[in-house]
Amino acid sequence: MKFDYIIIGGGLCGLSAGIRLAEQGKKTAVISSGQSALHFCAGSFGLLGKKGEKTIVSPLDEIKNLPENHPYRLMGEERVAVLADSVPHTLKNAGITTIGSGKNNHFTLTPFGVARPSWLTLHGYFTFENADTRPFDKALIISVKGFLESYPAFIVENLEKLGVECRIETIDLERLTRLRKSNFDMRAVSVAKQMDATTIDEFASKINACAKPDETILIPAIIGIQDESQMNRMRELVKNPLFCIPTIPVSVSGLRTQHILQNYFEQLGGTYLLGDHVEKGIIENGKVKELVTTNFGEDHLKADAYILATGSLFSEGIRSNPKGFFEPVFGLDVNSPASRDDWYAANFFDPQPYMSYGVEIDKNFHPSIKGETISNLYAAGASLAHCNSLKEDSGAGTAILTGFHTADLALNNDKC
Amino acid sequence: MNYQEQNISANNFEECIKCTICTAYCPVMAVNPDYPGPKMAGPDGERYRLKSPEFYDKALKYCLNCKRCEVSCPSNVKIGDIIQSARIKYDKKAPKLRDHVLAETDVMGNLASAFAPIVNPILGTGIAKMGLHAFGVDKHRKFPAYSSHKFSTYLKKIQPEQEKFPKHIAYYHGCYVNYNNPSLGKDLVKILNAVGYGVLPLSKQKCCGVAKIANKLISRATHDAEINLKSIREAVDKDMQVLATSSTCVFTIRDEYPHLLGLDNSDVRSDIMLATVFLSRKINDGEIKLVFKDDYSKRVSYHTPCHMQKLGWSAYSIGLLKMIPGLEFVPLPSQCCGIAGTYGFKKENYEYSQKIGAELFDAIEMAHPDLVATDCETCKWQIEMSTGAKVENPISILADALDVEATMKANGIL
Repeated sequence: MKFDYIIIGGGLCGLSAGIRLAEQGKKTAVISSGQSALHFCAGSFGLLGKKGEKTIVSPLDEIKNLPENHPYRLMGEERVAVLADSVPHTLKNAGITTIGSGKNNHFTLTPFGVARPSWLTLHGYFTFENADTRPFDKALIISVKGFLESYPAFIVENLEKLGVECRIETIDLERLTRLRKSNFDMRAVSVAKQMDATTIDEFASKINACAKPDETILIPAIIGIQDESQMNRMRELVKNPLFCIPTIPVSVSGLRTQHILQNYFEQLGGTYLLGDHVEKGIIENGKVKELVTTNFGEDHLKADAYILATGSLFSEGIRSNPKGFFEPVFGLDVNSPASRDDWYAANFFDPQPYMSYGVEIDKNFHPSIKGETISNLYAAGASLAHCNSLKEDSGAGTAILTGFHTADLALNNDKC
Repeated sequence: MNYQEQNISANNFEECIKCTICTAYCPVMAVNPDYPGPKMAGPDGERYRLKSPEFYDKALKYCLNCKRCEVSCPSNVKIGDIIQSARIKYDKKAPKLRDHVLAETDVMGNLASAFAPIVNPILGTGIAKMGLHAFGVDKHRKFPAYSSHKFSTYLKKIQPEQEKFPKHIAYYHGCYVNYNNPSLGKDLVKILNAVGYGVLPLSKQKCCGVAKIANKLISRATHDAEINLKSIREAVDKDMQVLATSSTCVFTIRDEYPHLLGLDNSDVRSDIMLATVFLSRKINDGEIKLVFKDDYSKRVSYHTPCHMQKLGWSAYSIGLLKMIPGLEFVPLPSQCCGIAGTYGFKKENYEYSQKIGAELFDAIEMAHPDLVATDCETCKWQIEMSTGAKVENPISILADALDVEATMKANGIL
């Protein structure tokens, strides 16, 4: 089967690239081996949130201080700024509302109620400007009876440090009675699937019955598995200001975002191949000739150019064995040292060197095999070397921006 | 040293990193709290079952075997295979008479076809439905009408003229085309003949066995599977590829035979495919051309059956439909319709079956297509019963839109 472009990897990076190409009317396929790390997103996208222990206020101003072969440095400050500015519009076109911009980070709360810097925050979550000042005077933290994935006591402890007066109320929802029979079903996605219009009405009226007039209401993020309208409805019904606190993964907003982006890509004419696995990329004369996948078998998939967006070690975009690190599809060059002792730091909480191992690229995002550049292949997102998205809080930013950037490079013969 | 990388057991069971993504995509878990979900029923439960069979949880029977957990797994764990293998290995409860009857599609099909004019009206009556309900088949279900003329008889009858074609394929028509819908088989013959291929029967064919596997009639399923594989090998030896028009039949023969019945089919696996896959590949390679009527005008959606999702071949069927000028294509999200073969026919599953399909039914009503295309016959029954939409196999839609004479000319037959 032949396409104009094939993207290997169907998460935030692969879909960003795919949408960019499909928007230009290109025949584009995205191959996704299982569901993506976007499902673990806690409601906010980081562009660049941390430098060591320090919280970054203006991410765009910090790019020049990153290591010189960091993907953002290879893109260039200006290009990062332009693309970062375009992201909320693209997401809006797909049906995803966000708060925030690349100029200044704002803050969201983690599932434990700790302030976390954010570039773009998804619909419904609480956001505030300054991590050290009290965001509101009084909070009513809502706990849902039997729900396993929120931690009201931690939230109270952390909000009290900011001087917020907190109260917890537990609400019992009729429709969850059956679900509660099974202790492993009371998780965010399962609960969100039960949140029909009647249950939302019940939830809202029970909150109204126990809320005091000056309280800000914080609920676990269990509303809105399909789209944003259910959360809007909830806010209309509840008298007080109401926000979501993220739950632990798998998150409702992550799952929703994945589906909205995938649907948007398909509406633009893209082909999303879920559950297929690229077993091998065939290279001839410094170019990718075709891909061999599990499902298409002897019908190899061909394109003019390919983007590798397979993710990090976590998503198996990079793999390891006791002898070293490798990129499993093409065997691309990876920046890992030979000695095993250099791979990790003895203190678990220190930045771990292996977290920044990935595919080495040139200035046009072409990877190489034994030093030979592959001219019709681009690498993007968490598969790239020299970035540590966990420590930098830059995972979503790297995914979307390098996805857009490599799509543009592929469209314009490396010029953009 | 025995590294972990050299120590991966069947179904990739150790690769599970407990991320729980599969539970978010399990259609059963969302409607039936008695089902522990793919992670608990699959890799988690397997750790215990390896210690002692008494950890087997009989709630595993609620698994529909849709494989959507496997499709969503980022770590390539064969969750569905782990669950089904555990049912086969540990569930010692004998299947009910009702399960035998539902699973014996060949026996029932042969009987019902012979008496179709009598059987069809009887199956539709209230008394028959109440009788079946007491027997364990849900009263809401409508049995597909049986045809008086089996497709296999027709295929034998036309064999002399089919042999005259320069190239041939062998057709695995399965039970549905044979006993219920011979016109789908005839549609395939029409298309293939127009592009220069004769359609020949396999020397012998039995039900693919999906229903027997689901109802734990494993020795019966293996018996049929061996007959099918033998005939398929004979066809492949004669340089014929083996085509089917049901995604579940193809999936069972290609993947369930080796994974659940332990039958090695690796020598012929890549020669067994859906007819839409065969046609797409031949068109893409420039070997054949399809020419369509210029007055076709319909709004068509495609429903991805679970086993088609697992096969990963929707792009072929959708690609062919999109080739028809005048066909307006409306995508649907890939979701389980809830029937899962014999699962939804059982009284105890009816409610879950309909709840699982509810989102898909809503999506179809929103899309309001003239036709829903799908490669699976049980999905067709479920969607027609639950939405009132008309459902057709893509092959029938292609045959309807095909300009036979122009296609024959384009392929140098006329």
